[in-house]
Amino acid sequence: VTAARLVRRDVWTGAFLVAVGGAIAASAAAHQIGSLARPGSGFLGFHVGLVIVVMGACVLIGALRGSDMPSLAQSLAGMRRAPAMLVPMLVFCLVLERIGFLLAGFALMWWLFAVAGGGFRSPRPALYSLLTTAATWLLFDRLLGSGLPGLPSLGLPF
Amino acid sequence: MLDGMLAGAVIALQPTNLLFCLIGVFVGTLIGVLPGIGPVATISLLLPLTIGLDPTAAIIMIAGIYYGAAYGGSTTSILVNVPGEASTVVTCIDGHQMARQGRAGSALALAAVGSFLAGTLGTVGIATVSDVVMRYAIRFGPPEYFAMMLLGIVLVVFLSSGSIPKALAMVALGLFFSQVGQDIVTGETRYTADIFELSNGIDLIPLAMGLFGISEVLLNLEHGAERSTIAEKVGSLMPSAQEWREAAAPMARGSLLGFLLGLIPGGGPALASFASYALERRVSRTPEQFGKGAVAGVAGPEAANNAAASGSFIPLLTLGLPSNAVMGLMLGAFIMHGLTPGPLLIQNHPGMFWGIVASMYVGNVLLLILNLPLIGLWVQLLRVPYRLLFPIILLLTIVGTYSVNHSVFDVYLLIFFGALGYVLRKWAFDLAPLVLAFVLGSQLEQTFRQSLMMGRGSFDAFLQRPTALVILAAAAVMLISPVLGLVRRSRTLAVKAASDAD
Repeated sequence: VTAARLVRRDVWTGAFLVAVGGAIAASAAAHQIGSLARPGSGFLGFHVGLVIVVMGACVLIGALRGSDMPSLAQSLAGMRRAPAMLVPMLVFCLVLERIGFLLAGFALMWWLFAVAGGGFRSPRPALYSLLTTAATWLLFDRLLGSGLPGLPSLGLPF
Repeated sequence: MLDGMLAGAVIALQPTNLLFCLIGVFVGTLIGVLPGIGPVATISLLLPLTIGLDPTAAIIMIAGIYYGAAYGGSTTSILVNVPGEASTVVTCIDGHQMARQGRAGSALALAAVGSFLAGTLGTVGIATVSDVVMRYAIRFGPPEYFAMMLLGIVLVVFLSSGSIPKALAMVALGLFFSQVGQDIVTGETRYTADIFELSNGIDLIPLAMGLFGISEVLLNLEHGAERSTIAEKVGSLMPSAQEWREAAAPMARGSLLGFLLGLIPGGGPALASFASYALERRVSRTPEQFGKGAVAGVAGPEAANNAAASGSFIPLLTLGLPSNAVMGLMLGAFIMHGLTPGPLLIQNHPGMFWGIVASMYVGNVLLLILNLPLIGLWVQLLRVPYRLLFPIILLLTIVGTYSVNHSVFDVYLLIFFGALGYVLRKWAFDLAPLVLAFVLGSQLEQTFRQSLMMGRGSFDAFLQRPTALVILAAAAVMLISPVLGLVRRSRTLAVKAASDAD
């Protein structure tokens, strides 16, 4: 096995599956597994874990043996934008019930519109985010009664 | 059947149901036209909004989104050479070539008429076949249901677009996610990592919206927040007499083939359109014209994908078994409204069953009436930059998920599944088997355990019931069938041809 083969995408994909499957099987083993005729609560989980391990091994071995496969670096290319989308969404979740949807939604949308190409200096992202946040709140909370916390929770009777 | 259809037509034509049918087909066409927003993500997004609605109106709207998306996707394929939907990938090949030759209007009209005819035939097919299947399925017990679900999962694996080991791993992962929460038999809590919110299990909405909606946005953003715009003019929407003649037989063949492939678990519009394209090229007297603007290359697949969209309702409505990810969400919609699709649906809720079936015909008429005159609107819509669209999609996804249970934890799950789906898709995993296995997981486990209890701990329940045995044998044969290899090869060829055409 050469170093070039070890950086193939599916070598890592296979290893990932083996690790995930192993973790699932191990956590299922903490429950009663039982037998095929009398399955316990961990029966299906244990066996799906094993299936994932076996499939991961197949993917890994296939990647080591085959030719002309994308590298791990190629398969991960273009991922740099993802954290810029996912991290603000996590922050939105953290602050939603404290500062309310109107503020949290506005901040999230301003970030997204700005990162998408509007920039932080232009007034357009702020305007778009104001409009979309207000429209979403009106639609979901006022019209559909979804119970979004609109304003900061300061103990006010809103 | 005729009485049922007439009663269904009365329900489907009630103003409220007609309105929701119109909303469904309009939204379906809209998301079909816009690349990067699929019916799975849209239906996941709209599911929470249907909670307060009458169940019939809600299902009619969701069904409209599904077949409307297959309808709308062709517009983008023909005009921009970018498939609006997976089911319209092959329409890019000859549809866009027709557009480049100044025949975009003809291609759009043929796609619309083909879709309408197929949708009509599909509705008649549902009304005819459902009744027969339901009468038979009413005798099904846990062994038969277990066997059917297993067959469905085997087919989904072998018809998935990626490698078989990866698809099997996705099925196993979907089954695992369905296990999180309480064990249905013992009540024991499992795989929750001591997170209280997981004790009731993982909800379908954050899982589906994350895997399909969020990951789709992240993948689209890799290519920048802009996308290609329309270069060609639409031209006349009236095909010539010669084009009508060339389209007639492919439309008929595509409708029949699509309907049959829609019935198969794991089938559906995408597979049907690939198979129809392969069939038309094979039977054509001028196969060399395919890829250069052949009418049959548009009419056949467009009819096939709409017929398949109709056909895939049959396993769900008659057996309660979803045959693809969209039908899995449809099952979720039924359950959310306190209904169980299956053989008893027509007995217990005949008005709803026939109302949904009749609404599909009404929806197809609405699509034909709306879409050709609205082609200018769709063209304008294709010019909306993605940088304005994706923040709105993300916000609606978050708020839609939160609204179901008023739970921030569900939004955390959404983000987790979004990130997971993104990485898995980057690593060439097909996520449809995961979602289908997740939807079927608890039923699969329950029916397996019930079957073993029926056999007092042995497999007699499977071996002594001919229907279950035949279905299990069919699943085993499918594992080794060369036919599936053929279908997979033709699908791969069709995908390759589509990418060559880009």
